[in-house]
Amino acid sequence: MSPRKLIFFSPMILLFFACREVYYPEEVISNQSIPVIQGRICENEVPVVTLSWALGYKDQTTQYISGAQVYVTDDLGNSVDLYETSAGNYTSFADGFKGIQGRTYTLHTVLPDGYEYVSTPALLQTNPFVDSIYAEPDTREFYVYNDNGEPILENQEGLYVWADLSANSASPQYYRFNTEVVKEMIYSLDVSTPSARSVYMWETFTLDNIYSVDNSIVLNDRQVLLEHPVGFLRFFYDATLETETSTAPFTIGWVLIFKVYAISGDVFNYYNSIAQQLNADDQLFAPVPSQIMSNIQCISDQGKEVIGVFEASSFTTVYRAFAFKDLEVCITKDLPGFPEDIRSGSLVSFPPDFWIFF
Amino acid sequence: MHVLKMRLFLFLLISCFTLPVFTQDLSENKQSGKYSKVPFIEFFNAMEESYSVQFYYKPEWFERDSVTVSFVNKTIEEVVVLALNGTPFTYRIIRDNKVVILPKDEVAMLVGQMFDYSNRASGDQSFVLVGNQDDAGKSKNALMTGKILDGKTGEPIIGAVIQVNNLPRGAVSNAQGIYKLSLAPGLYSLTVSSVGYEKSQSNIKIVGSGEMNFELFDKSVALEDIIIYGERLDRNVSSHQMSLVELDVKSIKQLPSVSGGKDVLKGLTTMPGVKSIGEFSSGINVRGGGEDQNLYLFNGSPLFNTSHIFGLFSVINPDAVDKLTLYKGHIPAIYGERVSSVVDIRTSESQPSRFRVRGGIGIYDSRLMVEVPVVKDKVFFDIGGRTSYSDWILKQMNDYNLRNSSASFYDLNGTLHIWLSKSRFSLSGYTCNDVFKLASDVRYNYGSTVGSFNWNYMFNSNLASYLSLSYSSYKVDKDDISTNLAQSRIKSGIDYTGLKYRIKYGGISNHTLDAGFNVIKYRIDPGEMGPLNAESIVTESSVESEQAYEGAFFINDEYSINEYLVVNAGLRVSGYMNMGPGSVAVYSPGMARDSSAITGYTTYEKNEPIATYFGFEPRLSARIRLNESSSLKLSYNRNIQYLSLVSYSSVSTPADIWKLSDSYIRPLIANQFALGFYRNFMNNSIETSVEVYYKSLKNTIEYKDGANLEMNPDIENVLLNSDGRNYGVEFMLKKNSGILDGWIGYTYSRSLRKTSGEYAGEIINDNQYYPSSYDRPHDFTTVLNYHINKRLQLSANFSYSTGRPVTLPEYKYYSGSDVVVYFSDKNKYRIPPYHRLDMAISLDESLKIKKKWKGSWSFSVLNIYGRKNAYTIYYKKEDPSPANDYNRFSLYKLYLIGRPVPTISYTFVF
Repeated sequence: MSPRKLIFFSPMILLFFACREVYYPEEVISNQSIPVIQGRICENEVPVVTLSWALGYKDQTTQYISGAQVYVTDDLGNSVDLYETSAGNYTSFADGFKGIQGRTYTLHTVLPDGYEYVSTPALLQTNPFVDSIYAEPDTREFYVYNDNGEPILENQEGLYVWADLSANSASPQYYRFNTEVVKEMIYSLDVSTPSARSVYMWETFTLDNIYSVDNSIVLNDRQVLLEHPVGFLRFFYDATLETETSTAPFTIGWVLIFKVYAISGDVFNYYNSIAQQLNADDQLFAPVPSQIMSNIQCISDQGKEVIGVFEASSFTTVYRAFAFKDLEVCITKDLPGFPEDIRSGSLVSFPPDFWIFF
Repeated sequence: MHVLKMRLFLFLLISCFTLPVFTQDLSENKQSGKYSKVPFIEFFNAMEESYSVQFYYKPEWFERDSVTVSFVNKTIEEVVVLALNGTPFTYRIIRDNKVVILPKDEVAMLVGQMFDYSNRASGDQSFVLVGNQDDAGKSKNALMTGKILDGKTGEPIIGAVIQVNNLPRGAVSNAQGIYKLSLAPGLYSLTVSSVGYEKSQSNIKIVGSGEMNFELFDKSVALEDIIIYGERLDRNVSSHQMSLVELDVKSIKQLPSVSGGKDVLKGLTTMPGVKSIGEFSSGINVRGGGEDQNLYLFNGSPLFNTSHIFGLFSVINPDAVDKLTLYKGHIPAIYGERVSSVVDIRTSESQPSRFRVRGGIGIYDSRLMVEVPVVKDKVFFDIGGRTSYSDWILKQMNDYNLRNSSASFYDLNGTLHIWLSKSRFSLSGYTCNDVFKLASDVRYNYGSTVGSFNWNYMFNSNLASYLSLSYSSYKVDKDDISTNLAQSRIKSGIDYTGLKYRIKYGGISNHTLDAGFNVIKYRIDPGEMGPLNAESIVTESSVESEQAYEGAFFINDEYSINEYLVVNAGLRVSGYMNMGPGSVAVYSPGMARDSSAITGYTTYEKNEPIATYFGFEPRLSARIRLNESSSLKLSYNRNIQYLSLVSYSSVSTPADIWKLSDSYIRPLIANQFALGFYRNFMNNSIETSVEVYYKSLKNTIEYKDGANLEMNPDIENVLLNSDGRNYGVEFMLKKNSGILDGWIGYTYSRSLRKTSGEYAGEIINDNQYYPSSYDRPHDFTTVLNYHINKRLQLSANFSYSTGRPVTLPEYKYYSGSDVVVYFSDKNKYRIPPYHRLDMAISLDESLKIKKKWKGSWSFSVLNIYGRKNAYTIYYKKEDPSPANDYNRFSLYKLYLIGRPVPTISYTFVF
């Protein structure tokens, strides 16, 4: 197994934190027009593409590309056109052209300036198989800041969540992860009064990053990915939030909507290059700039720069709930399903239908 | 008696030897007499009366001398001969019975039998006689030989210089302190000097071959002539060797402390053409070359890592170093293996006269060195060590991870010397180890073991042989200790075994020949990974080891054509073979060399050749002496290097991987031309030089984007062959003596690289030349020492250089909620310029010779004005905080010494 990236479970490497400051370069030359093409076709979904121009480093506003000709082809000779639904966003309205396992898809883009861009053909692979998702109660050391901006070390309790995947394959498997979490909390209003009631509160957030990727290795003639770090669920009860009329919110547990996408090697390289860039923790003292490794190129002019990715992927979703009791005990529940469109909210007196009790 | 006025004297002198000599028949006039301790002048007066002659001489010649002579029936000529016997005078009898008394030397000079190059005009009339006075006038050339010794210990001084004043002649003492100097009979003034010793002036009169020894005394008595670094008196002008830096530990003492102590390798970075990436970088960069292009030799064995704690200290204990020589241009043919420079570090080869201990205590480390004479003039040894205690510094840091980190090192060195009549043996060993743990994430444990055996045999004064056996091993353990289940260790290392044999012959007039061969065996273990504990689920894996042989024959001749022209010509012929066992990937032709292009592997058996290379490495240098204080030098070098350091970061670290040349990674080849002009002023107390150089490089290593170097069995598919060119001009002004001494150096240089790939991923910057990580066009350094008194001195060291190249983001875009950047061409921009001022005040040891324990203090402040010199700039995503101006995505500037850093150290000797 390759050495684990230190991205997630270790505190952010703040080496020489006291010897570092934000750098504002005096002059950076950004006078090219570089298109950014980000597209995806998932199993049973129509392809979607976003087109924009890369911003200059000091610029703030994204300029989307309208009026482009965008279409996706597969290895069976089928093709579907995508239409602009909003600035820079293109999608297909043809229900007959959706992602199918075993098909190879290619994205074609012709911009209004006439340049044509084509992606590397992407095979939509079989669904990834998740062996297990599990959690371990533990503490982690984390930096926060006080009101004076000074760093303070905190020891945070919570759950480290891991996932194991495997595949029957001779070649390495590449995965992308996207984990949504619904955090369940409860507090009481008007305690010790006849009108005392409970408030059920939930908060939704993304646990990992869009560029959270990993790959398998060979173990006992199978491709396995063991102990992929999904994230850390922090348990924190802040008694200072208690008021005369309400108690402080108490975390009941978390529901994980764990999605894992099976991607190709070049898509893995794209997201991995983003991860290296944003984490910049691979070299001890002089991080090497990680240039984005796109899988799209300009076929009109091979010297023309383009940034982007076209991903063809299948995915598997696992629903799992966890509750933190103490540093020794963690409660886990398998869930057959869970609504995926829940946003943060609260209900008084009665929990919502999706509420998980531990 | 007639007092000779000068003009008359000269007239008579010339007359005696240019005009016919007419004599009265004095043979008929015979007298008898007896004189006992009679003053010469009185004697001459008596002879004038007796023989009716007139004597001509200078009274001051005979004022204090007397004569004892007895004669019966002798002519005046016979009497004069008797009287002048054993004196430095001779006579001539010319017309009118005039007896002219003359100094033999003057006569000899007049007739061309003797020369006067002395400083007699300055008034010093005392001369030491070399040779037998009776041999005066018998030979045109005389050989003066002898020893140059330490006046206090009686030990021979190696490399001491005898300079013949007013002449471009001189000699240097060898390993036994013996010198040879061939001069015509005459009067000379000599200056004998060696670094750390008081200069010695001597007037000598050479009448024939003979011996003369010189003694030099330690410089502690008078500090006016402190030489900052070890270039000899006028050696920069007289030597054929150019692009040379010689450092003596005593010279390094003049520099401000680095991290609390003196550092012999970091001291080199104050010289033109020698830089480092930054404070925490390992190694040095010479004329735009990478750290791996320098061969560091410790008593003849190579060092593969030269720094402790990732560059904070160099691995060499300064107390162990007797001499350090850096060849940064013309590298003699006896050296190979690297293309940019050779750093030859030697420990002391002088026998201590007594048991001696010296050491130092600093706020980060301490060191000790012991010298022990065992059998006088036969057996002695030294042993030393150093250790650090820098963890307490880390505990003071604000950063939590640093507070929970640790860093420590130790090093040990020792040498045993055995001297026999014609043989000198030395057995030397060195070992070191570093442990660096970053919080609870990563731990590095790395160290070196180096050993050498040297046998020098003197057949005679013209022929000597040198046999050297060397061994060097460097090992690294990198532990991932972040999570229990994933703890792993990656072990890597390199082993080197070498043999070198060389003969030096000086029996041909004006020639010094060097010839020999060396053989090297390499073994590299690129990586072996396994679990670190029983709970870890990491599986074992390894990358195949590499092995290779390198051999070379070399021959070199230093030819002194005349006193103006010296040529040094050499040739090194090297061969290399990378051998099995091993398997080499085969790549599909017509596409980029990456993992997807591998079609299979070719397997090689043990000792089966995988790749062979061969090359000629001519070495040429010449010195043209323009006059006694200036010279022109030029050199050409071709060097081949079969071993490279693979380091994806712009800063090399101890965990980088050594890589042998193979089927895909071709040897690095460099051709360097250099031209220099050297001029000294004020009797060599001020030295100036300017050197220009051009160096072409072939097959340097570059990296593909996102190159994965660790545990990569097919590392060649992430490496690129590239070419390079480095060029520059170096200026140096050095003042060697006076209350204020030091030097100023300025270099303008460029270091460029270029790929020539055909496929995407193998092309950097469209295959156009771009600045390498070592490209810093302007570099200025000054080191100044002000001697307040004989013990107290104030030192300052200021350096400025152009910021090194950096790749910055030029564009950005949103990927979800993340801001992703798109970087510029490689090294298109520069980090801000680097400049820093260090100062120190030091109290040197007591000047009392009899004092047993001597200590010296040094207090220094690094980075006086708290410059935050950027070490690197990188892009990163973090949680918004005051530290990043509440920006989630930012460029960061990392600086390592952002405030004044005081250090104090105490050095002792007893």
